[in-house]
Amino acid sequence: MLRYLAKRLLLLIPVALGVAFLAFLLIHLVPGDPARTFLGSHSTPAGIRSLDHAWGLDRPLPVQYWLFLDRLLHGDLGQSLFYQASVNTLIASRLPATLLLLVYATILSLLISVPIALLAAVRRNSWVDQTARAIPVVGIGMPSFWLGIMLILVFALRLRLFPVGGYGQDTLHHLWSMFLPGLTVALAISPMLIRSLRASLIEALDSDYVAFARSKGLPGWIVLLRYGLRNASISGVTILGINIGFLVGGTLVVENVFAVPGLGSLMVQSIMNRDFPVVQGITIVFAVIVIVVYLLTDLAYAALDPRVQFS
Amino acid sequence: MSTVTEVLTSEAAVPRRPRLLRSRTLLAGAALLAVIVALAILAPLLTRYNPIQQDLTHILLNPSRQHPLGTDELGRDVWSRLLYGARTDLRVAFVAVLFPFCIGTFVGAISGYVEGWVDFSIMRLVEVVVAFPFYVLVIALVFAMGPGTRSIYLAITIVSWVSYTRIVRAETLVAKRQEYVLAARVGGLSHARILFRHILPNVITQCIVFAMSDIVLDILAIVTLGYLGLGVPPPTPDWGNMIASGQQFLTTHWQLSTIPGVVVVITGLALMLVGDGLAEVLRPE
Amino acid sequence: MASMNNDDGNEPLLEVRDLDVEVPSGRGHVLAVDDLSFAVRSRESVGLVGESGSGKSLTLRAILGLLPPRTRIVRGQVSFSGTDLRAMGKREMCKVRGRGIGMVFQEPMTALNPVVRVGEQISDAARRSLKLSHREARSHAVEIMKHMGIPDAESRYDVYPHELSGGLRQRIMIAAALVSRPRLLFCDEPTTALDVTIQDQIIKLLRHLRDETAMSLVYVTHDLAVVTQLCERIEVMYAGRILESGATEEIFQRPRHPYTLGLLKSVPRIEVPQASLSAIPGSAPTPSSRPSGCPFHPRCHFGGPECWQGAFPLRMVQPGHASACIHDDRCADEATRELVIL
Repeated sequence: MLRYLAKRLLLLIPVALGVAFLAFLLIHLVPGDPARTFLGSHSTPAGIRSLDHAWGLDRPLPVQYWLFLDRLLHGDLGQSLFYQASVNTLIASRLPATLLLLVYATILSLLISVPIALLAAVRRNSWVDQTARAIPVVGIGMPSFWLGIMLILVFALRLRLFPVGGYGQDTLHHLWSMFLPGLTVALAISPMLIRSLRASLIEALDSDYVAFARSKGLPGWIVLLRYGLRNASISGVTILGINIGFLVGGTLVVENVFAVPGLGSLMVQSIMNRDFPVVQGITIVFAVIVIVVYLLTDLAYAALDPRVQFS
Repeated sequence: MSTVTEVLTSEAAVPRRPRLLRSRTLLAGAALLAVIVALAILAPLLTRYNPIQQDLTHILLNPSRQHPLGTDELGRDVWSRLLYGARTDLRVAFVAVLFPFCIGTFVGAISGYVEGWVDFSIMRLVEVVVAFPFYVLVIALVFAMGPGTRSIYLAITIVSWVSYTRIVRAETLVAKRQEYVLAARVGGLSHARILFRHILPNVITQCIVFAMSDIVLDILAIVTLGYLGLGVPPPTPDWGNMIASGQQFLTTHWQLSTIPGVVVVITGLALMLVGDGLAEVLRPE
Repeated sequence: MASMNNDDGNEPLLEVRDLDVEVPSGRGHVLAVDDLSFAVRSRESVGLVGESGSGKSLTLRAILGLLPPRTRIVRGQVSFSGTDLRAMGKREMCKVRGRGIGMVFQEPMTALNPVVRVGEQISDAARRSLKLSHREARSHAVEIMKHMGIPDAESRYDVYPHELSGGLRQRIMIAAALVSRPRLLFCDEPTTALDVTIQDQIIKLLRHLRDETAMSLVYVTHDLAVVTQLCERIEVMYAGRILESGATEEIFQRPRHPYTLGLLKSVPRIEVPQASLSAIPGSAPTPSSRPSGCPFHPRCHFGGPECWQGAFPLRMVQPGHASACIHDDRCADEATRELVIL
């Protein structure tokens, strides 16, 4: 297992470098002079020159990349152009809300998707199954921000069960305010989860090994648990991991709908403020979260499936 | 002993409809999509209002005979904005799917066919792109390149090509080892000819099916960017910025935000039905 | 369930009558098993012979209630030890499976759960049917594994299926099927996926176990040679129906159906110099394209227009020997002339 972990980490290095490079490239995609663009109406020749120098834009490209990497490895994501603070400080202050939203959404999406997928796979062609098959077809096309607005309309404005947005002061308040945002992200991702989970459950239940298990006289629920679920959950872990990219992306938009003080809303605000270092920093942080989750998913898969070779 | 013709006629003779018409899902989806596209194309005939013309004396009107869906906060007719928004969003989405489709398919085919370190490098590149959440990267790219549809096309292309690459690469790896390919090699066909004339046609059907759901994702991306103020620049009507500007009137005029969203869902439904229907029909028998 | 222990020599252990099984097809459903009837007595080994697509595996699964989704029995009676299986509820059917009837599948790599240790796949059935504790079940399973000829049974208990060879995997599957001591064992082509030498070992193993426990056997295969080693009776299946039924020796010497004759003629004999291999022209029909009348008539050189329409049920042509062909006499004559006796 340790060798597997080491091998995966080794493969991560080119990816990490690539991620850093892509993030580095962002500033160079800006048409025209980045410094002028970001200073906007405040640009003066002197101002542009000093910003160029501060950003190292007057140096050759490879040198710039090297400096960027160097800063990155020291954990320095730069200074915000808009706030009088380092990007790190800003991100640190906003990270908890986003993480809470992520965890909340993951738990809720599992609570929604797993029972539906299970019932659909076990009771094939029943109304549960028909619904489970219809949900992805309708749900994948549903914009998450619109869903959030609809939930606000019904549960916050009409029924007054939850707040319209915000974060609250204490833990209980946090959980209460984040319920609708979490539910929105969960509902946005559930159609895909239901579709994949149902498919892998069906594959397990229709397999020869389930038929053989039943032929031994094992009752239905044991077969479902030890032979159906056990096998399907292995690919289920992978499915969940793959969808984490969408989950994280979903939090970005939903934070803006509900005015949650997290990384997503900071990112959009910074875009409005033309605060480039913050945007770049948040992009990198999001990528790191996703990479970590992928790594954990791979490890979980290797731990669960004995067929994986640890060579 | 019976003759061959007698054998054939003694079996039940069943006329079969052409393949494309056999899936009810496909027919339903295609019909719905046709209606939506028709509405978009016929927009000038279906409304007399200019979607970007403001009329501050007639703001926030409820639905009436003059304005079937009412007016928004700048006095613009909602029905007209909906139709013209369809033109914008659908056009951008359909075009935006083409570049990733072509680029991704090509790269995937090369990667799967050549293997070796070319494949290795491409796969690492795929992993880099995939490490960024879809919306995060799209938004960051649109931000960097400035607002406008050109940035949207570019951003979507940079992010979406990977899905096609993965599909095509996986299929190519399998197809490469099939006997018909080995036979072609023995027959002396060049690699390029095998790849493009023999392997790709078999592999492309999965991409086409996926492209349907990819268009849905693109519509969502465009609409989301519109909502965040990063999409199609105003005053061009777009379902996303309609929802955004309607959000402040949720308590009094909830239809302003609701209706465009419903339209997006229905469009997505039509495309998903077409995709699922195609998958049914194109499944190798 | 008093009737389960009925060991009356006259009454059949398993009786299947007029069985119809429907499978989904492009236009609704078609019959994959058509008006099938056969019986198995105590201590009897019956071979169910036919090509792929003839419905043999489906028949076994139908009897055990293990049909895939959208496939079901639409007509017929199945009784085991006098009890009607089709009328049983789920829980009662679970008791019949494993303890009454066991089944060995064709491909052990797909029939064994790849993520569960092989020993557990033997003992989990034992724990329930024999009401053993965890440890008792484990040692019971190890004993059975040794009995099956699996070396290092104790350590092999904790191994995963992919770590074993094909032959060992099959022995594990046989062990798991037999652990609850069923009175009847279904074998669905258990040696098809194995090397010839391993095949031989497995067949010897089955023969040994069968003689030891006095259980009945239904052995599904397309391989005639295997059938002679294990079964005293044969049912020949084609296009979902049984075309001929009788004692193995009798059928091999004087088959009374053109299909059987064709099968026997196509077996190459090493002792007899042959100019060319004989084969039955054409191919077996799929369930959705079965011909009317006798299902074999398109490929048969005996019959004429009288075979193209109508029903051709099995009829007793000699004591203990039934055929569905109306030209069984001519068939038997040709057999006597052309077949080389084994």
